[in-house]
Amino acid sequence: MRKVVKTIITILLFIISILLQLFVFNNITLFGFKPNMLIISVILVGMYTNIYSTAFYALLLGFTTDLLFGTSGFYTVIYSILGIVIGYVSDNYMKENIFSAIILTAGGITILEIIEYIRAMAVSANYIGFMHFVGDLLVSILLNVAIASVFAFVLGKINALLEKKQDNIYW
Amino acid sequence: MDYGIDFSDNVQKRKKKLIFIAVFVVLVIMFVAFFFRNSNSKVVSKVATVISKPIIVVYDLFNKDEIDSMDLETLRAEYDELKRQKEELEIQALESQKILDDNKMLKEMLDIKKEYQHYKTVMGKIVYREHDNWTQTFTINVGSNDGVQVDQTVVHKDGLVGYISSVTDTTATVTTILDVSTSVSVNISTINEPAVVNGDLNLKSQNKLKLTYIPLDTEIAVSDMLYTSGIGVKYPSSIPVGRIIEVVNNKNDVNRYALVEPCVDISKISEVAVIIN
Repeated sequence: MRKVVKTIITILLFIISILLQLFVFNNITLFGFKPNMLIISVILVGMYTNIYSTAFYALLLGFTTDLLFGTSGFYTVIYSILGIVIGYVSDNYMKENIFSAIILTAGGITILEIIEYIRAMAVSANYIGFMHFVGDLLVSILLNVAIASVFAFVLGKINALLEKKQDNIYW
Repeated sequence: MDYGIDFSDNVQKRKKKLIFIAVFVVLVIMFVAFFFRNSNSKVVSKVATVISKPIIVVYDLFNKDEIDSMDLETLRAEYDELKRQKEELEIQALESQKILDDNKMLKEMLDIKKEYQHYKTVMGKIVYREHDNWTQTFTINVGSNDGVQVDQTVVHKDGLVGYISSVTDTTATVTTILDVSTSVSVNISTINEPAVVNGDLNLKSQNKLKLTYIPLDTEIAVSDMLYTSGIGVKYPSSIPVGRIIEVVNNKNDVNRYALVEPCVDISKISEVAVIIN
């Protein structure tokens, strides 16, 4: 029963994260940076499922992103890799709590921003200074960590409720 | 001798992991190959239309036409007679505001049409913007079904916005002039000399452009206007691009550049026109 509920929550998270990103977070900027609900959703899925589910979730999310934004496979590859990394770290080292979400978000966003910056640099043949990039990165991390903590808190409560119900069934 | 250690479990786990990795890599390659193989065909367009259609439906749900609120008004008036006058006044005020907003939007669209009346244009609304922090693109609700094609110019009544970078049946992605991959050939108004304007990573958060390849021995000044030169296939000529706000004189003339404020505040617009002819 719990697996079915988890699957439903994962599918809902997929749809909600895309809609939230397109209609809410794309219109919020802090010093020119926007929250990335898509990578946050990969992290949240990674915290409560195994590496295989996380990787496939990230793959589908990347594919959908490429279709919506016309980026020809870029996000399919990037999100797949991030899904595997996040799934592996989550499975082996992190527990299901809000601090794990914060650390994974900071790590995931750092990797994503570096890759996107390298892509932007390659396309435009210009660059920004290292300290400038670090400043930009910190803003992006803070923004995403703030949002990830809220969602991780809510998801944590849902998970605790499900576990309590499961225990009640057995006892 | 039995040492009590079962190795078969580890072998099973390893096999499972290897199979997963193999299947996953094949899937990633398949998906990426799908994009590269079908980049010019209708297949990607059709699949992308299926994905983007529900999103357009959700967008339309929150952007209903005025006629729907009239049904709501009738239902509300009938439902509460005691507060009817107060509610009617509130609804009328809301309707008036909605009418003003619709009027403003329609006026903007008309202004765009008037500004570019010598071109054939298709009006589009911005449905959603890019989600990453390093590109400057957005998606509009018109596509190949409306005659939109890749590399067509996108404008607003105030000036140049960008160009169409990808198209599906019902939507199109616009890469704006603020994007670091975009270069626009411009004429500097006061001296009628060509230069190049492009997005810059350092100016990304300020929504400014960089004017480079300024001809040697020419004097440019703050407030000089820039218009598209028409050089190259992408942009028609004489479309306003921006205004020079700062000239940076480096040690030698070759490296000097200027900062440009675009005519169009791309973060605030909601309608654009695509020049299809």
